[in-house]
Amino acid sequence: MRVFAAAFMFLCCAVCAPKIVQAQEMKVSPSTDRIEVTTGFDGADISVFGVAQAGHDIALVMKGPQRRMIVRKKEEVVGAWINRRSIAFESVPGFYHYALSRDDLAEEAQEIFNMKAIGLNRLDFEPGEGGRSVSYYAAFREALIRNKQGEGLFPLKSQQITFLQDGFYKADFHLPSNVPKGRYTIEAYALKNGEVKAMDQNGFDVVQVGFSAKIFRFALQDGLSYGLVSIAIAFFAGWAAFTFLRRD
Amino acid sequence: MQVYLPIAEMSVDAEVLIALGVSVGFLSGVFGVGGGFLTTPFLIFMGIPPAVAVGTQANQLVAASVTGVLGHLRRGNVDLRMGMVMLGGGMIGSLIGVFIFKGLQYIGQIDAVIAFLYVILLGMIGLMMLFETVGGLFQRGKKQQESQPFHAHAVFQNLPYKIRFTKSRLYISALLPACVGFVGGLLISILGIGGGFLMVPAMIYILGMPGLLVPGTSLFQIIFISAFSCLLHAVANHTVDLVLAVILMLGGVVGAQIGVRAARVIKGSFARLFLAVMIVTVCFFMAADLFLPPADLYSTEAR
Repeated sequence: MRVFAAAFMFLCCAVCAPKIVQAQEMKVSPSTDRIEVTTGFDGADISVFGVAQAGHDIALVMKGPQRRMIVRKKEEVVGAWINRRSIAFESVPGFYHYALSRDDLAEEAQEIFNMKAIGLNRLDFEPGEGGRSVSYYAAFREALIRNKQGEGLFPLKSQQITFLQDGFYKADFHLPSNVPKGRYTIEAYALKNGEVKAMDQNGFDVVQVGFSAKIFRFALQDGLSYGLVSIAIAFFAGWAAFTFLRRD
Repeated sequence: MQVYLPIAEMSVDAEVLIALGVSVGFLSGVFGVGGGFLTTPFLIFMGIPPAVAVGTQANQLVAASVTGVLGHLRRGNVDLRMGMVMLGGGMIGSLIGVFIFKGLQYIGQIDAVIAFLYVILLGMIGLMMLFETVGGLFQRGKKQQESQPFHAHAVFQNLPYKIRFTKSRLYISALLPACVGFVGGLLISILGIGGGFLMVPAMIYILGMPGLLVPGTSLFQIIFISAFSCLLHAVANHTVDLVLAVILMLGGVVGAQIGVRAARVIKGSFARLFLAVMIVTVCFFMAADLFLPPADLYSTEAR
């Protein structure tokens, strides 16, 4: 019976999608490999498609470029609330999201989830300065996650992976307008009985283009000329306002 | 309509920015104030990083001051010599200010310092204006007793480097206007405000300049100090957002025109009362931000 089933599947695969679906294999691909941040940019939707062996559960992780983040805590000083303590976290992804084919997958494959950092509470960003207790960091870590969630850069909960057809899956993600620019990675894991059976990686770029990119590059590469141009524009605007919109 | 600000690296409502520009322009049209004290806090409130708000505001100030000074120049109400001496001090002030800003940002205290300075400066000015206008409304005609003006004090008279300012008919130490300019430069670089509300009384009471020459001369030196500050912010911090500045300028031009027309209808003392109430309100919000327990004790910053 098993042999028959395997043979049948093989046949199906060979006929339907000979290039992609193979036993123990999985593929993942974003709907676009380039998201352009223009002057009118107001966030973007991105879908992730892939194929996996039927019957496998799937977990997807999307990560943006990493940055060093400083978390500060306010304390009361003579009645005023002022930043007192701070902790730096190295390698915090500028964007993080994940999708699961089943909500209860996390409990079933805890070890894998921990290892592959799937889910917010498993994200591991190292505190820059050592020598403090874990509980001391915990509050800062939580605050960082809460703050990122508020900005829409970290998820409140996982996205749902939907199967379009046996083995073909899809997940939708939204990137808010404040997403950091750079290389984004997508990791896809096929799971069965709490074990990784197959995995694939892919990615896309978020790039600033057009007028907005020109200004950004100009400002960063040649601050002096940029500053002079800004001042010239301001002088012109001030003069124009006086001349063309006379007060009398 | 959403517009993406390339330096702030976020998108904001263009309508909100234009509305802000128009209201600030309106204020400057009616009262002749720069309105920076409204713009900076509002931009920060919108989620724009304080550094970008202040850097961009310096640029925006250039435009507003140019418009203002041209009118005064035409009427010959600018003491260029006094302005030059002031802006000499102002350049140094804004240079030091930019470094103070950077340092405060590094240790994470820039927000608190901005709020603190706003509370003190706006609170002082706003309350003074409030008492003056309310008092003026009730006891019109009663002339105040003139006491000896500050500038006549011996301390000020005995300072070295005396220069003759023909236009203002003054013979005073160059250190005085330079110091006033210095404080103005600090304010522009740290708070992103022209500080006209502080400079004008200082020029009248400390320098003893004739009232007629004060607004024009103040605006004249603000142009160059804010231009210098803008340049420093652009070179050292890359925090001048041209898209943001241009939108604010456009709104400001429109608002100023409405304001100038409105000023002919609005009664002077009520207009001043309105401005005083507004200043006190901004001060109040800043104080609440500083002294009320925050909703979230933690804040994050990428570096």
